[in-house]
Amino acid sequence: MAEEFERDSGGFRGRGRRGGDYGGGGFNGLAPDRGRKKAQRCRFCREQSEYIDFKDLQAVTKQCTAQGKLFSRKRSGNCARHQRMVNGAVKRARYMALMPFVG
Amino acid sequence: MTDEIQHSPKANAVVTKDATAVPAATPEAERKPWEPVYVKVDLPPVPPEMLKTTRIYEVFLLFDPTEATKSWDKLVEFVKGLVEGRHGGLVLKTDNWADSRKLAYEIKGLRRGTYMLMYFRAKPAIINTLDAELRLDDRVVRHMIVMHEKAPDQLTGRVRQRAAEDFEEEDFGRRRDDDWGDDDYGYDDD
Repeated sequence: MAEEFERDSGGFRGRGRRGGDYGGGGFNGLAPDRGRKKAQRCRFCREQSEYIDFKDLQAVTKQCTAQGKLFSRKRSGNCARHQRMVNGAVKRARYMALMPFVG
Repeated sequence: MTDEIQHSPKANAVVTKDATAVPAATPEAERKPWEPVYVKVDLPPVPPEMLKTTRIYEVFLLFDPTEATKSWDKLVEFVKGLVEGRHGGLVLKTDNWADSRKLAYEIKGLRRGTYMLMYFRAKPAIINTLDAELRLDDRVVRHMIVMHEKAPDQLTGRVRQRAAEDFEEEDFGRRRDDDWGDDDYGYDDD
């Protein structure tokens, strides 16, 4: 059966049409949503956090590498809203010397 | 023009009553694991005319530890004096957040510092002045004033149930197709 349109890899190289691990979400042009329910990947959404305190070092230090660099949203799994809050909190913590800028 | 605080639409629903009011707790048996628990917090009573004209703020200050241990009360009085005396605010809670904690980096030759945390209610107009005054004083090494539209957990006594621990800790790691990313992500790569 002929396809109506060309499917390109959508940026996921070497994964073929199935989309590998990323199938089930319906990303740009890959295999359609397989109906799998996605768990919330944002840990702050799961906790229903409305505010991320820069003093809550347990939560905030986890958002940076061992070198003190912020994780990207792709790496941290946060949603856009909470990633913005995280960024602000980390920068405040750095100013107040609770976290390093480098190191 | 009234003195009343204009709240963002999202906050409006909460702040028409006293922001520190705590919802009735669900009984132990029915409580779900992710539902928050509230412990009792002692706060000074807020005069009703302040409820609508003031916001809840938090100020976080960093002091030299030797000076702080010597005259902690004087420092508290100083900040309180600024908030209540000069600007007509109401201090809700004062904490010694950390005593001589190691700083993440050296500030003015200081490697350790003592932190003070103070919650207060005040009119928004005074915050700029308060900020300037804190910057002027030599004893205050760093300070940060944060606004809260709704009362923060420390004032409501909300104990957050960390739902994250119930799931296995998800570290998304380096994706296999992350060829264009940085090399120094992750804890184990060093």
